[in-house]
Order: sequence, then C-alpha cells, then structure tokens
Amino acid sequence: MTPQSTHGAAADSAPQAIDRAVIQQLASALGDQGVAVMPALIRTFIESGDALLASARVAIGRDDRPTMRRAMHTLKSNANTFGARALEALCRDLERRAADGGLSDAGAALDEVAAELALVRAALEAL
Amino acid sequence: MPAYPGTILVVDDNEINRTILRIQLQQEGHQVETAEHGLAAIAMLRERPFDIVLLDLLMPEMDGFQVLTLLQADSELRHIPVIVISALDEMENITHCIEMGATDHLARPFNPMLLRARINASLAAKRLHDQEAEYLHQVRRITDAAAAIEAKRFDAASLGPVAARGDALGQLARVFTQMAREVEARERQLKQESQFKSALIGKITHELRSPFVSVGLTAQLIQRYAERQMLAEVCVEAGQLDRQLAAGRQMIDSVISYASLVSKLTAPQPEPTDMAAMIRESTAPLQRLAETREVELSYVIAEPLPMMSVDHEQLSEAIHHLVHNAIKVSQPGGHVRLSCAAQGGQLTLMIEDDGPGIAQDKLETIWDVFAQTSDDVQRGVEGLGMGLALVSCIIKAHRGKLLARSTPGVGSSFGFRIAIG
Repeated sequence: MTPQSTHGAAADSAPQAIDRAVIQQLASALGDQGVAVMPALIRTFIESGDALLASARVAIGRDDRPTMRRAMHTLKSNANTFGARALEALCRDLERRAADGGLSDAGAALDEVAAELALVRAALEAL
Repeated sequence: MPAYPGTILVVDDNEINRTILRIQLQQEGHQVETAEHGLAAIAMLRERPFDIVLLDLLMPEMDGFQVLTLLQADSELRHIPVIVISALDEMENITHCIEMGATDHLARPFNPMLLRARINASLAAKRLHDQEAEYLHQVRRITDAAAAIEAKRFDAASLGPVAARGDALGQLARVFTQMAREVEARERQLKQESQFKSALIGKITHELRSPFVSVGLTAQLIQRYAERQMLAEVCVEAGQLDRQLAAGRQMIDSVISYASLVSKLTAPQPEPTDMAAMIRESTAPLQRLAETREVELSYVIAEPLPMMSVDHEQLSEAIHHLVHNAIKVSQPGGHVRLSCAAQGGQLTLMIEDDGPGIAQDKLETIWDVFAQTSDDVQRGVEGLGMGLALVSCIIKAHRGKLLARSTPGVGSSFGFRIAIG
C-alpha cells in the first residue's frame, strides 16, 4: 500500500464511524465554550471508552449482567453524543442482551464494539 | 437570558452528559450544580433549594426511579419539578416516570430549543408554586395573628413582612394590625376604668362607713338613755335601728373586702397543680366551721385527677369561698358535698348543699357583685354576693364556666368547669 492509499482508507472509514454533522451541532450547542471544551470531552469519551470495555470484559467473565448493562448504556450514550451511530447500535444491542438474558455469547459482540470504538477513536483524532 | 433564571440540579452518572448539560444550561443563564448519582442528589436537595431536577434514570448507587420515589415521599421536596432525561430508545421508562410524579422528559441528544422550552415551562410552574406557598404562608401568619389576639399575646411585628406587601393581602395585614392596636388600646382603657371603679367603690364605701358607725353609736346611746328613762317604745326602736345599722355596716364591709380583693386580683399565674391535693388543702380549714355548725362536709373526688396548669392561689380561694358559702347557708344537721371529676378534657367541680335554696330569678344574678338583696341583709343571712362575685372573677380569668343550680327548699349546687389542657 502506498502512503496515499492508506490515507484514502482512513478518509473512507472516518465518515462512516462518526457523523460530523452531530459533532458540529454539539460544538455549536456548547457556544462560547465549545472550542475549549470539545477536545476535553473527546478525550474523556475515548479514555472512558477503554475503561468501559475493560469492565465489560470482566463482567462477561463473571456473568455480571448489571455491570455489563451499565457499561454498554454509558458507551451507547456517549456514542450517540458524538454521532458514532454504528458504535451506538452495537452498544444498544449488547445493553439489551445484558438486560434480557445471559452473557454467554457476548464475547464476540464485545469484540465488534472494541473494533468499532477503535475506528471512532481514529476518526475523532483525525478531526 | 431566560424569563426566570433558576437553580438546576443535573443528576447523571455520565461525566460527558453532565458536562454538556451544565454548559448548555449555564449559557441559558441558570445556576447549575451536578450530582453523580441519586444518593448525592438527595443529599444536595435536602441541603439547599433547587428549582428543577434533571434526572438520568440508569445510575449506580441510587437510580432515577428511587430518586423519584424518595422525592415524592418527601413533603419538602415533592414540589420540585423533575425532568427525566433519557435516550430515545427508553420511552417505556418515561411513561413509568411520569406516573411516578416526574413533570416532563427530555430525550438525548438535546435539541437546544426544546431544552429551553421545557426548562422555562418547569421554572414558571415552580415559580408559581413558590408564590402560592409564600402567599399561603403569609395568610397563615394572619390567621396566627388572629389566634394571638384571641389569646391576648399579639405582636404587631409578626405581621410586618405581610403588611409590607403591595397587594390585597398586604392591605388586609395593615388593617388587621391597626384594628388589633385599637382593640388593645380599648382593653387597656377598660382595665384602667375597671381598676378605677374598684378603687372608687372602695373609697366611697369607706366614707359611708364612718357615718354608719357614728349613727350606730348614737343609736346605742339613745337605747341606753331610753332604758334608764324606761321609755320602752324608744328602747325597742333604738335597738332595731342599731341592728339595721349593723347589717348595713356589714354590707359595706363586704363591699370593701370585695373591692380590695378585685383590685389585687391579677391575671392568673398558671403553675402545674395537683387538683385533688389543692381541693383538700383549700377546704381543710373549713372542717371546723362545718363541725361548729353541725354540718357534714364530704368529698366525692374521681381520682386520679389530672395535673392542671392553673393559678393555685386564686383557684384555692374560689373553692374555699364556694364551700364556705355552702356551709353558711346550711342548717344544723345539713350536708355539704364537694364533687370533682375530669371528663372530656374538662374538670368539673360542684359543691352541693341541702340549704334553703334560691329562687330561679335570683339564681340568674347570683354571681353579680350586688346579688345580695336588702332582704338578705335584714334577715341576717351572711353575704353570698361578694364571695360568689370573686369566684366569678377567678373562674372567668381561667376561661372557665360557672355552674349554678338550685331548688328552693331542697338545696343548691354551685361550681365551675374549666378546660384541663
């Protein structure tokens, strides 16, 4: 792969991972403080995302559904805030599963969440 | 700036949500505080006033449903509007929350226009509630003031804040305060007049007494002179004159003693009193009088009687007078019975005698100062009037009710009823 095609792949995946219009709306809703606060919010999103993934993994091992549910609920909410629609959908699905039934087959779904979160992170860092 | 800037508590475990909502609301001009979970929120709400709570549902420690339940159960916090915040996919929870007492809901991500409209609507409702509560509070101050006037301990300063209002309630408070001052002034004047009257009666009767004494002495001189001169008719007349003068003197003496008692009679000084003990103590000295007159004095006291807050000295005096009168009107071999019982928050004390009794028309004025008629004086019946008038003063000062029953030829009962509380 050439450096150019790598750049092209990132440019393709980023618009799918986050909806830029949502980010812009958020920034404008924050008004004067938008410019100052947005980078901190994004940092919090990414850092807390890692922590939530980690606690979700532990929860699967212990079949701890309330923790799993809360982690996916928070991550879903944050994905919604930043226009990460695919991530939001994956988290919603896992949140419902944790609410309704067992976590036996949740590992694979959580891997998908982790992969999508990585894409979102890349897209946000590219902003 | 919003129509009514408010103090808003944002309750959400998600730091990003808290931050965004805080900034958005601050930009609208509101004061914003945040809590990470329900427990912290409840503690803050109990500590200081908030106008609105924005409440997330899924939280650790204490979730939104528990917060709603606690708020609704707390009469101090129930009136604070709660706007539930949630994601769009949680609508079934919203219905449940509204049923539990939430005012409104907002879905994330917040549309700034909708956020502003919902917050302002809830703030307006809260403001209306606060005004209503303040209004009711001030109305209560006026009704309290009315009760205070009734109990003769009204302080005009207590209505100051209400009287400062520019509206109808303020006017009511001002008129009320003015009327209360007038009532107070009139009462003071009446009291002064009444004291003056007592003093005047005392003075006049004193002045009246000396001519009675000197004319009485003259009558005795005439009687003795007539005896020596053996003027039988003059002697009888002079003797009768002397007896009549003595009866008149006695009446004047009792008026003097009444006037001095009334002028000394101050407002009751209540103290906790064992009623049964007080009844026995106040009437024990009369046992000898009863024996002398061959009257049997007995007690029917429904013990235990409650402890009561009364003026011990005054009430003792009243009971003493009632029993004293009953013994005086009894014939040898007669019976005087004191009965006392507490029932329905009232204490009733009655003293029955089997004396001559009193006609119905006289019974109606028996408690008046000058109830004793000239007939009684001529018949030599010792004064009922002054003693009963004094009892009447004391019982009325204790907000009690006087009781009197009589059947001529059978006997009388006098007594009173006062509230225990």
